[in-house]
Amino acid sequence: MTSSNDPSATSVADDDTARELAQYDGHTFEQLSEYLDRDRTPANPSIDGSPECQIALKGMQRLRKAHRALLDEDVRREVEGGDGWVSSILAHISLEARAGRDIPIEHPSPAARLVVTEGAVRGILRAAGDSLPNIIVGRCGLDGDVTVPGTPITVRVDASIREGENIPATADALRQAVYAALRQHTDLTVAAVDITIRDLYAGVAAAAAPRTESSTDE
Amino acid sequence: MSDVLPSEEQLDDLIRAVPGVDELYSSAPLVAAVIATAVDAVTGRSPSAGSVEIAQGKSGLSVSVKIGIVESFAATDVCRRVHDAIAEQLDRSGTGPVDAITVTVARIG
Repeated sequence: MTSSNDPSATSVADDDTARELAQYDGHTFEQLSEYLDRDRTPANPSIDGSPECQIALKGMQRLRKAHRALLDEDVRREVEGGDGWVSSILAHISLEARAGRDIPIEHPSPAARLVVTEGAVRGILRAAGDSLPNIIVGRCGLDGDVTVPGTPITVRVDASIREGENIPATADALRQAVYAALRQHTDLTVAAVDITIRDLYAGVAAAAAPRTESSTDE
Repeated sequence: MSDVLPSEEQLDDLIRAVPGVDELYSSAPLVAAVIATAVDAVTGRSPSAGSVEIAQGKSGLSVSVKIGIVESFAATDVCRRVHDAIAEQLDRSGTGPVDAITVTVARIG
């Protein structure tokens, strides 16, 4: 049994809150979600002026849109039964919007210090995946020392695919989208893009039709 | 060497004019930035206060900016163009040696 008056528990909670506030320029993920609920009114300059908040809000918006599309297809019961995946993706958006490490951009001038933040890159990886039909990106990460130019890195992406979709083909489309986004926006040396399909989510068409394929790709 | 450094407003306008830049984030501490942005909102001015950090050190001038860019542009190209625009402006102004021009892409799309 735990006590709510346990000072160490309070300290841990305070630390967590302080860490979360630091990630979003003084705002919690819950506050950002509420701001989105209010359709960003009244305007909050400290949220609107924070890149980390904007990345998190965009991720939340895309997830809400995908979630709404599922509900619109009258699969509310299936989704309600498995809302854990929404919470899980929200948690990843929360973590990934942090600025993270600085990823260098090359320039011949010795005075140039050009970087793109890891948070911005994770944001485009998620956006690249979410732009594809029938796939929702869960977690993305960059493994390796992204701060040293030329160091090979591995990109990890976890995703959920709509039931009935061809998993290898959809994973390959995601991989190509991720490569393209990284080529466009970074100087990173990408050794591999590892895709893991963690879940299948239900849709009306898939629910009505029998499963035709079951495979994995990683 | 010029005694007059380029103003934040000058550099602010210059950076916002670079194709692909759609936001210039504050480099000031959060509280100062919030106050400045609130004043901008009341006065109807476009948010800019504290968006370019200029410092004169022993080794020369340092300029730091944090930008958001449009997704259809390449972040690497936009970042380099912002650097080059600042470097050219500093050169034109005759500000003397430049120690560092730091451009951070904090958001894409």
